Amino acid sequence: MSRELLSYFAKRFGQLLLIVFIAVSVNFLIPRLLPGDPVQTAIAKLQVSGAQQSVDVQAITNAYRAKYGLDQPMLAQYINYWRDLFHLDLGVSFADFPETVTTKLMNALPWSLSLLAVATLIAFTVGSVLGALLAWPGTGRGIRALVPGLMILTSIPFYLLAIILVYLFAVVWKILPPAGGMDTTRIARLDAGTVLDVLRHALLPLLAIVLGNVGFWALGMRSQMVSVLGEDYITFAEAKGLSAWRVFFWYGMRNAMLSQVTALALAMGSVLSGAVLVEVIFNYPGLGSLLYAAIRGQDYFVIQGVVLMLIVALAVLLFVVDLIYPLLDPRIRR
Amino acid sequence: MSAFANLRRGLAERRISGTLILGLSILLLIVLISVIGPLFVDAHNATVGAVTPRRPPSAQFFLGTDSQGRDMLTLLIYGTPNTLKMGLIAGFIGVGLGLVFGLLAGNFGGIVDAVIRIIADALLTVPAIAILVIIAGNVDRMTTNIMALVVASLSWMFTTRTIRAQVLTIRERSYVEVARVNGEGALEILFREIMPNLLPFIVASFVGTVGSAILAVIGLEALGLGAIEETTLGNTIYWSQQSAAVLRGYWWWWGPPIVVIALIFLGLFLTSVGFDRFANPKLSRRA
Amino acid sequence: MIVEAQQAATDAILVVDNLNVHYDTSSGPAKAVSDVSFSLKPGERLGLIGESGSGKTTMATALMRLTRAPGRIVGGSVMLDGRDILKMSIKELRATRLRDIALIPQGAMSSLNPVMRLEDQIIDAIAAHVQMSREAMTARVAELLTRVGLDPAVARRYPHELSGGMKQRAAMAIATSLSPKVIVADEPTSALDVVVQRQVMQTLGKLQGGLGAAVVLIGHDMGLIAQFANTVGVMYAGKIVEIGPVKQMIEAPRHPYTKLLVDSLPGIDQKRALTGIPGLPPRLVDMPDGCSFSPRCPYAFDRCRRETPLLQPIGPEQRVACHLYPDNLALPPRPATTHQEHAP
Repeated sequence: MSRELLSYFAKRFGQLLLIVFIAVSVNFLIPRLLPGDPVQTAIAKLQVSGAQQSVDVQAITNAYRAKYGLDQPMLAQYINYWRDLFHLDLGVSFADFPETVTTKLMNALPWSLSLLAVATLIAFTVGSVLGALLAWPGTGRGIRALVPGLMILTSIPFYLLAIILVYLFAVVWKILPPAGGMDTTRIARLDAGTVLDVLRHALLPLLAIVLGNVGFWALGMRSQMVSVLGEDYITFAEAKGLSAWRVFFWYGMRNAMLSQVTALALAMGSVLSGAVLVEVIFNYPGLGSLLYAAIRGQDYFVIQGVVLMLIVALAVLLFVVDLIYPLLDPRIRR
Repeated sequence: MSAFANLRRGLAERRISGTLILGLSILLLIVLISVIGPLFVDAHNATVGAVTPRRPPSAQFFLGTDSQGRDMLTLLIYGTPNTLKMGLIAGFIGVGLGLVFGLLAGNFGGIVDAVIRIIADALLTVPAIAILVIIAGNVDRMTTNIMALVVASLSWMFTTRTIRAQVLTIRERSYVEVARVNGEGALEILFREIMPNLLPFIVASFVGTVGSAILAVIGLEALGLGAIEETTLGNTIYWSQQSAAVLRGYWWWWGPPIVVIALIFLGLFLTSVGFDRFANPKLSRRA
Repeated sequence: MIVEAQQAATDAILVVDNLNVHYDTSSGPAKAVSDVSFSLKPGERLGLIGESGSGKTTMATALMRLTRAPGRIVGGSVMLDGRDILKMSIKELRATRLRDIALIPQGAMSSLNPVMRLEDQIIDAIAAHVQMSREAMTARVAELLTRVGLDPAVARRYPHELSGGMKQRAAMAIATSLSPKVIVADEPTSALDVVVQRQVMQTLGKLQGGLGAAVVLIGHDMGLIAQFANTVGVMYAGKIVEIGPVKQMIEAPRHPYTKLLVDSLPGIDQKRALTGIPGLPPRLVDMPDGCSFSPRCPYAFDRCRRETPLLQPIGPEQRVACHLYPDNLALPPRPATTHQEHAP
């Protein structure tokens, strides 16, 4: 790896750390900037809503008072906060005391990660190929007829699309389960039955995210491809007598992909946000549902933990995209 | 050239495409419903317990009623303007802030630019829902106006980036050089040479910002963090989820709001695509 | 017809007959290339000159049927070795491109795929036409690059790592890789500085001589083209207005436009005032009747504004489209300036 490439990576990694730092600080700051003692407010809300009666509120209050107590100056609190973070201590869940926030996060993470990774991969790939085809003059009418449909699909926020899908597949046609990650009566084992069950439950959320996103990727790729196809190197490629497929893929798509990948990076934030909401609709046991339950149950530390996790996840994802980019565009490798 | 002559030329050169007209018409329709709608329905029907609950669409209740006895049509007519309002407020503030920051960063460069850029990039990489959830979760009494402000606080980054990039490009153009040589002051250059050329980008950013603001607002409402006491499209969907309307087959509860939302986004999308073609004539040619 | 006679008599390798290319604009079709006919013998070097907007690049792309929307080939034929390029099947067309007729593009700066290594771009061109082992390919690539004066090590590089002159030569290497019979060079040196221009033109000359290929060299630089070509054709507003052997064209141009072009060449031997050609080329949409050059022509008379002159032979191997002929034998002296100097 060349020196320039290494310094590029180092710079990007540094940015990653900076962003995480800023995000975490913001995460720390905001509740504390609002009036009132955050812990006290959380506990008070709990008491008011009468949600948790079995919990020894006084014990928690005392424990956290000692750690985060507002008698300490802000700076000390901040340092404590970071120290706890390094110990991966994100606090305790009020709803399921004494289960730690970290445990809850680790349980939910694999579900969200797998769903989002697979869904984004499918939507991005299918969307990009579709978009490229739409821009190619030789494509048939059948595919072109998809454009209005795609535009409409893009217009529906995918968590709302999820509602429509649940209605159609789970209520009207009754072929897929409406909620959950797995059949709750099943015992989780690593066998074909469990795997199949998980997949069945994952299908609708997957479909919602894919359908909701594919239009965006397709239309974006189409406009990129249109401008690439106007370039001189396409003419020269055809002058060489290359087959239509070669020109389309190696000269056309390959160049249009560059901006698509950049767009992927920029859109990551909203893809993540939407996926979180999709989980809520389906009660899929990922970070989204965790967040939702925590909001309803006023589980203060869980909320903070999930938000932190989302911020870090996004920063890492963007960093990975930044790593991939030079592989695609040799001009950046300098 | 007068605006009318410009319009005619635009139509002739096919810069004002059917897409743009369709998009604007859809938006106009939505606005019309919001403005004229209230004349046809009684606001009272949108309050809990006003009418017979759980009725599917009929002659009496055009869009049915929800499980709490509210008329869906009324809900829709009063909810749409509220949702639009939040989008517009967030849109104006977001673009306003974005414009200011973008101009500052592009025009003055140096440390001002660096600071603005780093903050904007950092905020862009944060999933908006995360920050919004925290802020919204900590506000005692949420109203639509506060929601709009909350969402606006994270809507300026894209506009800033766009405007900044454009300012940098425009500054290098020869007419700005000429103005500088002619002794125009920095502020004069800003307002007379740079701003007018930013107009298409400002409009495009506005459409985009309003869209993403409405998206964010509906997202928050779906999580139950919205202004629960007010009627909005997102809240209606939230309540339908709370009553398991999907599983119980009350499609008229969540269906119509989704249709209206889809129309709003479709309108915004078509408008932005059509406007792109209007502002950038090179795109008018079919490839 | 003139063209058939030419073909029969001289065994031409390329015969273009009544080629017409239109551009679809919002105000109607622009006739970028109108009724262009010429022929090329094997090994012949034809230079086509014209101002911007004369239709020369449009013609270059049309010769290989590379015309893209909003351009359209609306009529004529391009016979390469007896086969009409404009009527071939796509499959045959693809096989013919590069193998029989090759393009050296105008902006090699932007004609190479930015994300592919140079050698891959040469290899895929060759592989589209012949089967070769990987080693044979690599050897061939090295051979081609050396032939154009490039270091074979350059093959592993990406286009952005090459200079303008190097890219142009790489494009020439690609174009000549299968020893085509006809090379179409569309302003191959436009974006280069004079020193590199000369090197590139020398390379082109060498290549062409070695291959025995016919070349259509298109450009706007009369000096450059005259140094390279055997035959020179002058294009104006989409038509060929004069075509003939280079010596005659330079020493005794017949068409007023040609004369003005020749006159505008700066001379090193004697210092004189630089002359240009006043006025602008006409819009190609909705062209007026009569000779398209008449608004700017110092010799224009009544007939010129009413009737379009046809290309007619004026001597062996020379043709001109002007109402002054065949009544005159050569270009008369320039009349007093009573004509319009500006385009209408």
